Amino acid sequence: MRDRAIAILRSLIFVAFSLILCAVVFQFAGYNAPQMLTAVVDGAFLRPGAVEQSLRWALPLFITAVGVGISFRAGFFNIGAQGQFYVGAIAAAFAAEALRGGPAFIVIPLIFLAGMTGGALWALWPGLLKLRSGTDEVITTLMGNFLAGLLLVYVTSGPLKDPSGSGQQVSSRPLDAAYRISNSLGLSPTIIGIAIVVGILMWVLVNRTSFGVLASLAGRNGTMVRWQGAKLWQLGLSSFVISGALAGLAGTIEFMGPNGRIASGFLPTHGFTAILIALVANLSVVGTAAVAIFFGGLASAALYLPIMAGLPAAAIDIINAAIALFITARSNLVEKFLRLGRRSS
Amino acid sequence: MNDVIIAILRSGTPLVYVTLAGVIAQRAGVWNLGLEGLMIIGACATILGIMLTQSYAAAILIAIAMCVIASVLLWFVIEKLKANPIIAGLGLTGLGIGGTALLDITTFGFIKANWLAGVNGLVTVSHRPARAALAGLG
Repeated sequence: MRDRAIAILRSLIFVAFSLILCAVVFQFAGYNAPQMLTAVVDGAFLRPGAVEQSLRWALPLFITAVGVGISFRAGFFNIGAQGQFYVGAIAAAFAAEALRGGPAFIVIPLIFLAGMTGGALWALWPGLLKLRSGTDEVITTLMGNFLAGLLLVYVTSGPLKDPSGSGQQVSSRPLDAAYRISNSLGLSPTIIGIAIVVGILMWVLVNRTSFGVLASLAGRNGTMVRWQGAKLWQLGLSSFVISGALAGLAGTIEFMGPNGRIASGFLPTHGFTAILIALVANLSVVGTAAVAIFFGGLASAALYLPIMAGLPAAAIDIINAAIALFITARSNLVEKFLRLGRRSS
Repeated sequence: MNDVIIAILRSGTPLVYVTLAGVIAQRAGVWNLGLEGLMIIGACATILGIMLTQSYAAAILIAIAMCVIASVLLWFVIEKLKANPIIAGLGLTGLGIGGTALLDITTFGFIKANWLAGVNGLVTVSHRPARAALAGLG
């Protein structure tokens, strides 16, 4: 319990560091840093309707981040959530196109299945390469993100192109209203329910099954787990597939919920934010839920800043990036400080 | 044909520099995923330097100095704070892209920002972080 409190404090300290760095950058770029940070908090949580908007972004981020956490726990640095998210959405869009006109209670589960399979397959090949030939999964998953991004551009301007579409952005045909799981605001009981189910299932998987225990042991010391007789190969591949499937699920939710279609270049930094969430939350499922709300707030503030406050949305990119810079840091000074607090308490 | 060769040289030359940077980092055992960020910081600093000093040489020196400062920050986080080089590198890239976007807007306003975004866009399109990272693996 006390260790957990220390881990939370450590994350908070480094997030605070990052916000200080952001304030410096804002001042340097000629903005009033306190005013900027107040506007961010305002856009994230305080203005009317902000909490709903933050939740709308937090739920898909939570699902993706839980998946990222699962592969990180097993010691695989799967930074391809972005690509798995895209491929999931693409697969879902293909399924929706193929099943157009069917009854909703059959079509909707099939679209979900297609999306999750798409994401899982996009995580499977880096997993196989890693486990069979020792290819570095950081490079393969990172490259996979670019491939998936280009695939999205191709699909939306080729096979799935909306023939009636005009204007600058090419996109797929809009999903029939009968199959949508939320309106364009993106918050509905279905989506909340999916997030809760995913959260509970993954919490049980990580904390209460032999798979979860072995996987996190394997992440710390693979050789030891192999000597104990566990199949590292299976553990690794399953964590890749689960994390890919969850990213694909998030992509499907974005497709069937708020967006209703896929367009080239939608949601550019979703996967990267999910990695941050998993790391800030120290890979715990419960922590991920809390941190996802914080980052969902930032995502909603990014939309609010340029329109309502007249401040550039790039501010949010900077906050995200600064947190990325510091969040994996372990400083002796901070550790000493944390331990000091522990002794006196 | 000449055009093709000129275009190859034009878009290949900056890659040589950033590849060298990647090679040096890779030799030291660090994956420098912050190269993308450094490039865009350098591009932005050069333009601002030219505006301030009216001299190419001074502008290039300013750009180098800014990139060295950003690199030292990355070194500090990775070596002294024991951060994960991949996540920290991606963070520096994001900081570079976001920071220069912010600076563009304050310096040129929303309208002229498009012009600079064009310049930056050229830099970003031809040197994705992926390529910088791959180049460093060689």
